[in-house]
Amino acid sequence: MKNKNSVLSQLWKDHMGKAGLILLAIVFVMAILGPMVFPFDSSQTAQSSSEILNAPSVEHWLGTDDMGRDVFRSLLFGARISLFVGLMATLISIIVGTIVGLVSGYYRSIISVILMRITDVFLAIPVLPLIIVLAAVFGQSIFITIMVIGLTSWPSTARIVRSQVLSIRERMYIERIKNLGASDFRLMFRHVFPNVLPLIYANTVLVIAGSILSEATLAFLGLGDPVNVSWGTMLHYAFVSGAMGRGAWWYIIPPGVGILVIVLGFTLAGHCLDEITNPKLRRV
Amino acid sequence: MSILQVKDLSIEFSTRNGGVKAVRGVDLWMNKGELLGIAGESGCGKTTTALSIPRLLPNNATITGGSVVFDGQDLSKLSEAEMESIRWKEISVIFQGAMNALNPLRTVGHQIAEPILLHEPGVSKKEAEERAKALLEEVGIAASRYTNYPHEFSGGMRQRVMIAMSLACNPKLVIADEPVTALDVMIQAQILDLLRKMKREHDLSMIMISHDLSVLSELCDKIAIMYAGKIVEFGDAREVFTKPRHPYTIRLMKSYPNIYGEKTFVSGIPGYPPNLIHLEPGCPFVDRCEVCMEECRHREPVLSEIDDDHYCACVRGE
Repeated sequence: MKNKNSVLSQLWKDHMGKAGLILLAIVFVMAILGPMVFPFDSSQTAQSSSEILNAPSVEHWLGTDDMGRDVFRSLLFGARISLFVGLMATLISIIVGTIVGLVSGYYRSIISVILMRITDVFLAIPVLPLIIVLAAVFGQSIFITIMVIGLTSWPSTARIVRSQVLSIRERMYIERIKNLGASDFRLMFRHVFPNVLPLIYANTVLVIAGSILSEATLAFLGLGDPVNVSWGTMLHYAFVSGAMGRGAWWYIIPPGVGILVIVLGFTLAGHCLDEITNPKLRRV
Repeated sequence: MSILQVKDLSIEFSTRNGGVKAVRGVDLWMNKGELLGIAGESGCGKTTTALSIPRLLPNNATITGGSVVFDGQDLSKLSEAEMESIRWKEISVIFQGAMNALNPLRTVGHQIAEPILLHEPGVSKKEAEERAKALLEEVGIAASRYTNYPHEFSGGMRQRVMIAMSLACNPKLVIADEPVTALDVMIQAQILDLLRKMKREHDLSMIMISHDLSVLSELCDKIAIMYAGKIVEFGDAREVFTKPRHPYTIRLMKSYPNIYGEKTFVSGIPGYPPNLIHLEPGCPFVDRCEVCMEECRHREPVLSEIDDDHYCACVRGE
């Protein structure tokens, strides 16, 4: 790495960060390159019952599922879906959370109170039942899943951003720039926003982990997109088809480990990033 | 030619404990090209008075009376939008505390160019950058440091940046709020030299706020001594420094060691300034004054001319 102090190199120096980066690298390589090398078609089901729930073999590295599809290929494709949903939901969540946090932190007026009460409402509602209800009402597609997760997971980001904005807003240079005649919009996005950015980075990575987990939960409960099979959906079908009872471990363990690896990777990297960007958390 | 005339200016801050009468009927004037110093202890209303000229007071402050005539124009009658066109282009400010008045995440150059971009909408980014670079050179910093961040600059250099920023839109009047506070003496001298040079080269009028009389005595043409929201002594700087008349000014001068002559103890002024929320009638300095009379407790003296270009607000001088 060229810059000795770049965030990546600092992550790499930390044991936790290094572990996180390695796990994430594995997942990203799987998700990006995997389906190119081993294409997967979810509609390509078995022709005869002899191909269902086969144990791992040379032909099917991780056996076949309850519809005779190759579990290994399904796993690679699932990585793509899980990551895509997690990242997109996080994008929505971060954008909403950042704007709500910035605006409510910057203005002292009634706007701030209203935004914060809305945030409180979202924080107080148990999110999982809400997501389940919304997903059930709006249907099973990954875009619905993305929207539902994104629009329910922003309150923590909003809170974090707001608390930092409250502190930045009082700094002298903000006062000075206000006196220069800069508009509120310019002040918020040109001067306050860059100062909260590091916090948003760290928070983003943690939100991704949460979003992927939420997606897996939804899919496991049968609310996932049946065409775009994610790891959660795989677990759902494995559970429904009774793979456990039939001893088909190759159908249950791979997606389970996949979810573990991806969530662990983001969580480790996120906590480490949090420490780098927030000196107060740094260990001595 | 008079560039600034402040008449009977009063400013009140609303606080939880009541209204603070921070400025109570201030009269000030200065001619074009002059440097006016405003001195006084903390909380006497120096900054409030000066920042009320471009109307840059905090939200809880209200101008309760008086007028500010700048360059023949009564600023107190202008709308906020009209004021916006005066700020920076006509009157600019070097803010207090240069150490903290720069955004740590933006380059120094950008921050100098910002007032140009905000106040001169016709100017392109490229042009603003060129002007900011020229200003950097002018205040003694290499233009190549345009892309540096504030943490890469020393305190003195940051103060130079603040000076460059204040000159960005070629103002006529610059208000320097404690421009050398928190700098060491060597750097103070350099910054004061720079201010003097800038004033001469840009044909500026300047108001300098300080609690440090030695700084003001070095530069000022006129000086105003403030106490408890009022001007107690005002006039030609040399006159005020050599022949102070108000007891407060006299004690203030004695509070500084004299580098010539005998070694003497610095006396200081015992007591505290009065509470500006509940002001007693009479002279505000009465409790700390060595020469107060019975009359001082009942009547507040007004600023009156005691000598040629020398004004004093003391019962004894009237």
